[in-house]
Amino acid sequence: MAFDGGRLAPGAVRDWCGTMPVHRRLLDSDPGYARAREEIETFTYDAAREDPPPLGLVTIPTVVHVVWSRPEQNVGDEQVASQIEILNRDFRRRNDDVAILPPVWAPVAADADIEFALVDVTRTRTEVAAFDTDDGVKSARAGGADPVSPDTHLNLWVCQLGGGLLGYAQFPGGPLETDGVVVTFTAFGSSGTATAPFDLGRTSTHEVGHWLNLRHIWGDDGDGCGGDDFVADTPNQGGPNYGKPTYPKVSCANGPHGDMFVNYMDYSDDAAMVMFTRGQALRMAAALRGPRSALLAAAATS
Amino acid sequence: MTPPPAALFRRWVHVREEDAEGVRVYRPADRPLPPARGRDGIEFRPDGTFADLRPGPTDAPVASVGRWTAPARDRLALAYPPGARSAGAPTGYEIVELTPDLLRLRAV
Repeated sequence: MAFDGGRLAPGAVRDWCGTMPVHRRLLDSDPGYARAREEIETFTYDAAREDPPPLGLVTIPTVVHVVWSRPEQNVGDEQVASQIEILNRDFRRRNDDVAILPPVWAPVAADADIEFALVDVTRTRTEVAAFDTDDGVKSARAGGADPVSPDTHLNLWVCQLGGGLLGYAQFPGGPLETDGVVVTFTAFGSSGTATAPFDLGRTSTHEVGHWLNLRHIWGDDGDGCGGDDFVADTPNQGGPNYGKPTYPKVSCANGPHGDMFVNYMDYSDDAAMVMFTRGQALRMAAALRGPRSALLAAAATS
Repeated sequence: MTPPPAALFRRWVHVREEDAEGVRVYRPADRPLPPARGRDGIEFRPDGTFADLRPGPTDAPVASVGRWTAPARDRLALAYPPGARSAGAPTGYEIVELTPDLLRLRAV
């Protein structure tokens, strides 16, 4: 059996699978978490009003955890590098495909001034065939890999996710021991196991957007028009867009330009999402000033 | 009330690219599935409850738990919890096909 440098993790502890959904329910209903999220939104609102000077370039130290049970899931260093390169292009508006933008949105497409520096790749062999969103992949005890200094690092887990899920994230304000983003191995980077139409690394761009406090562009209210992403320069939009929509795609009386389906925080295919807005960049900067300020402090001293 | 077939009671994921002619196609959540952004799902439980699963604000599915009844062996009536993000979701289904690998539902 192929085994190149990984370490054999203990198999999933049997009772763990039963207790983790409880943890998830607590997270969803825990008053402490709800309060933390409220405080973060108040801070973010105030930061947008006060319009503080730009942070300048912020480089986030990043640890990639490759957790695998079948050899093809043990994605190579070159594929990891391709993902870091994509994050650096997308968060700096250096992606060539920004050229596909309908001209109306080109002026609001933002350089978020955030980069990612790969500091380590961990490799963990697991007996878990597919991980759920119960955060098992983030715990050595559950067959995954523990995060590394999540207060000062982005932790990015790559594994087989179940249920056809591409990835999921955690907002600022959640438990430190599960902080980071998870991406399924066929939607990671742009080489190796990356598979169309999710083979341009945009799942990670989307998830890291959440990790820096961005909401879905349609406002997370199903297909309704009442939801908000708390960003002023994204149009109000009904539900998520899938595939590669054609401009203009109008919903919620948002014509003539319609939905901003080219935004990384929609559900379009990788080749169709090419931008963050200025408002989204400001919201991410507020996350770095506030709930994720330990990243800034660490960057300043490194 | 005739209970629905036991094979119904599991977590199903909506594979919307296989939908055809008003029939929704679901596959078992614990089998390999083609990845997609924003898959919804439904889990039927023998205790009379079901979980309506939608992508949450950080993409992990979030469940709203409601109650199902079976007016006939191939019919399901769904009652969603108040305030659920299920506006516009069907309140009744005809079970068109049910096997261990496939569930096809038509909204009625």
